[in-house]
Amino acid sequence: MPTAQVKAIPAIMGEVDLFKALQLLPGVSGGAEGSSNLLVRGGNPDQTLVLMDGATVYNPTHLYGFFSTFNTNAINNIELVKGGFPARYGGRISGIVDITQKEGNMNKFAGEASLGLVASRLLLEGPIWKNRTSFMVSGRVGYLNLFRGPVELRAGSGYTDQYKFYDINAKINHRINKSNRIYSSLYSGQDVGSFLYSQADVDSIGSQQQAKTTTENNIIQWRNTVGSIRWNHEIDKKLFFNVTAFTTIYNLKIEDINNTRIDYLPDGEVKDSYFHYAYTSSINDVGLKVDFDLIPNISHYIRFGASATSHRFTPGVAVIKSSDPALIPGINNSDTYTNEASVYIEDDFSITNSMKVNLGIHGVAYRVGSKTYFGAQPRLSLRHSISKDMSLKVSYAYMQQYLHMLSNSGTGLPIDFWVPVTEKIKPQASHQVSIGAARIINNKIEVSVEAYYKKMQNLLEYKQGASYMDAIQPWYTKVEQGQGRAYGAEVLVQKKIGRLNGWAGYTLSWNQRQFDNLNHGNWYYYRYDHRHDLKITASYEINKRWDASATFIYATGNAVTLGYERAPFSPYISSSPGTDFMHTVLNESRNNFRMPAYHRLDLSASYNFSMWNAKHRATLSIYNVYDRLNAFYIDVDIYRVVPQIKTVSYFPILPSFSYSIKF
Amino acid sequence: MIRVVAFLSIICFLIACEPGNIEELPMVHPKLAVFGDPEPGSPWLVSVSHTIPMFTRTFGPEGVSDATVKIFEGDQLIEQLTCDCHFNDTVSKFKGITNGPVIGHTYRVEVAAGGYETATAHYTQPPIVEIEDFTFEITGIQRSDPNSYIYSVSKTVAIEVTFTDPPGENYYNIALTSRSRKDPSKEDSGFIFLHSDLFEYQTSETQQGQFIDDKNFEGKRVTLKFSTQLRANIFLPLPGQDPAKRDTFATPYLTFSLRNVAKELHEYNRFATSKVTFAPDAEPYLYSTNIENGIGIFAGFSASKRELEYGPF
Repeated sequence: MPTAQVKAIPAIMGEVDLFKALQLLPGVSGGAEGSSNLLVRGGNPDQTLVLMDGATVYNPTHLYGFFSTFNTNAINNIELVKGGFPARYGGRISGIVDITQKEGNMNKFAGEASLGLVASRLLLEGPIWKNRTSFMVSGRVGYLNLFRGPVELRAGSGYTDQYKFYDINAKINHRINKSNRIYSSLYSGQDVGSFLYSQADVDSIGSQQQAKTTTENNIIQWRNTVGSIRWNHEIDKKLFFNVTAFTTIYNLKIEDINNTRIDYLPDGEVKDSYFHYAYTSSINDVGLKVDFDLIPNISHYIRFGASATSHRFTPGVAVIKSSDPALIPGINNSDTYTNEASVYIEDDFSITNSMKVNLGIHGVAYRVGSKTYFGAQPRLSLRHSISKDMSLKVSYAYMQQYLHMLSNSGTGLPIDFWVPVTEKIKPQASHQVSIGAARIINNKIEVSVEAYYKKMQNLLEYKQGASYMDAIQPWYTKVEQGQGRAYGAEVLVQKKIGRLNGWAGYTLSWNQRQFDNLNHGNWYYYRYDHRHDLKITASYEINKRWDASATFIYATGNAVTLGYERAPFSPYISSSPGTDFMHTVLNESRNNFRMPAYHRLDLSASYNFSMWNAKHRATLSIYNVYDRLNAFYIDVDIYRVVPQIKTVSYFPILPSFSYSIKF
Repeated sequence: MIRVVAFLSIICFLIACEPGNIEELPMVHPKLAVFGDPEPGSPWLVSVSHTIPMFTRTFGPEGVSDATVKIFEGDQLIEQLTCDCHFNDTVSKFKGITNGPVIGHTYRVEVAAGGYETATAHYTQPPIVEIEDFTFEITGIQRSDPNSYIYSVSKTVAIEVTFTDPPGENYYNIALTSRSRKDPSKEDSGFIFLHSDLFEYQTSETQQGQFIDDKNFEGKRVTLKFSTQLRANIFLPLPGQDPAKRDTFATPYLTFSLRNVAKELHEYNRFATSKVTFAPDAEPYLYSTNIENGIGIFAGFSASKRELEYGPF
């Protein structure tokens, strides 16, 4: 997907987002409203590998998962793979997003700046040493707190929430000589959100007065740092290689700081109490990989390589400090060190003039504790051109994944944390077959149809009744492993040229899970099982100054668990006199209820002009034009005679304005 | 262009086939709730209540005193239970007079009441798994300040139990219960913590003891280790009071039970005890039941027991 196409899509709150654009493709969805997750062909959010210049990014979101971390100004190319995975990719079982940053202009200085309602960005690029060394540096700052904090303080609610985020992308590209190049790239981003509550009261207890001051601060922060250095060497015209050293550091911290001070008046005696809760989780990766490209003749393109990665997981450490000594000190899910080595070879070759094959195998050895997992993952894709305008394709891929994401909310919030495989928790795996056809109509419109079936094994879910907030039980005691299946068909109609361009994508799919100890062992629909998923996006160049774009999305509602009645239960049946019987919600099956269908229309119009040797662009966007209150979650309104389902929506109509300048 | 329009029309048609948004909770007809966990040697006891719509304003379950409760073995009626009903019962208790189930036999309960579908369930009474070896050892004592008015003593106890798991799937509830010396009929439950590598991923610590399956020792002789804390608060006599008035809340009678429970009861127990530790963000827990046309549980257990006496503190 070209970045120009991403930028043409209507932006929410003036912020163009790469993952929101990818979600408009058939077979890809974000799951919950506003989420920047990428769920590919019925997969879980953790099953899509996100690579930036060859290094993994674990939680690529800002603003509680609402925006992806990728600054579109700094991106050169985006590749999304949904099926028929080439053997060079591994590590996830559902999808690959391979992002390449801009390399920097070798000849002249250039820049781009934009101003939006929630964030602004600046990109600078140019030569350090003309035609030899170039740089690109880009930064983005979010300032939601500039608006919300003061407003809430003035409202006198006692609550203030603050939010800020930033990210920096940088790349240096140096051409040593004709056959050697060095690329160095860095990404760093951080989010900090806090909810501060303070209250001061004076109470009378008998004749004594006491002044009570309570402050509570809930803080969530996460940081991603991804860096890589790549040496590109051309041995001869037929063989070249890349050696890449990379590192990824991801940290999450959730804190609850609660302080209470009581002044007994007029005695002057002061009593302080406190409760501090801190939860941290992190992943550190360091690795090295080498990738060879060999072109022995016109019929073959062979890729092969190897990589080694060392992972350090800190799945969750909760520390509790309290003035009440009776409270437990928390839990320490100890660090887990794992090592991963992989090799691959693939050949893209022609059998006949009309038939091309990509055949390969990806092998992995993954060491955790005293156990080593081995995996051989065969890959095959075949493409047959029936005519100049029409082709057929078939593919099969076996994929394995050696880490899981424990998801409680499924909204892409960073509280969905990453855990490795262990000696007992097995790696995820998938088998996927797909068959499709593509046709170009009148050299203008591309139509493609693809059907797929994916079987997933060793998926991870929380046990029934488990809570991520439970600071007593280690994570591995709270999980179940099971299987999944997803199948369906995708249609994509795309027009890339002309004043009117865009695409319509439709997916008809089924997506189910089965765990022995969930839903009584029966298959159930996954939370994001969307029977119908339709996305239409179009851009129209009205004239040289004005252009407009529109996006429409329709998706079947998410599946959630909802009880319709209450039932008595007791942990003591015969031993009690009966007073221990209580009522509980009668949940008879998992994800038994469908939230209302999701649909939304976004529009935008841009005015382009040149001034001061620069190109200017002013854009007005309207998100959710007809103010559809799409359900973020559902609740039951108990204050009615007949209880009604209440949908809670976070995203009403949202007009926004952004301004950018390119020089 | 015609093809594109046709394609979009087909999709719009498919989307139009989706059911409309549901804004009211589906109204469901109340079902009978039936509870019974029979044990050989004890008379039949079945409690009956009913479900209610989601937000009916009520304080708790209510009994169904006009129900008819029958126990069958095959098609043969074993006993019709009679209601030991009282005003405002949270559940209506139906009792029998015979000696309850026999090991290895399959029983069916049938509960009928006006306004409800007849609820039924069946199960096979599991065998007793004998305790072959048992040790109970006090390994530590912690005492609070003996000069305080409330003097508390805590004893750490190590327990080892050995038994042979019968062939096939078996499910166990291992519990330690205590009875007051003053009123031995009054039973309470004590905490028991299971320490064994075999159960790294499935231990649950509840007041109803441990609920485990035999996946890790199927058909084998196994020794399991437990530990527990026995606590007593001893109230010292107030100044001027008779020193003999020193009161203790020690619980001198203990019963260790190794219960072989029917699979259905195992599932229900895991559900019912998990509800006790419900957290607001917790994953949904499905109601576990084996009652057809109703909810609840009707499945038994057979226990092997060790009576213990310890104290005074």
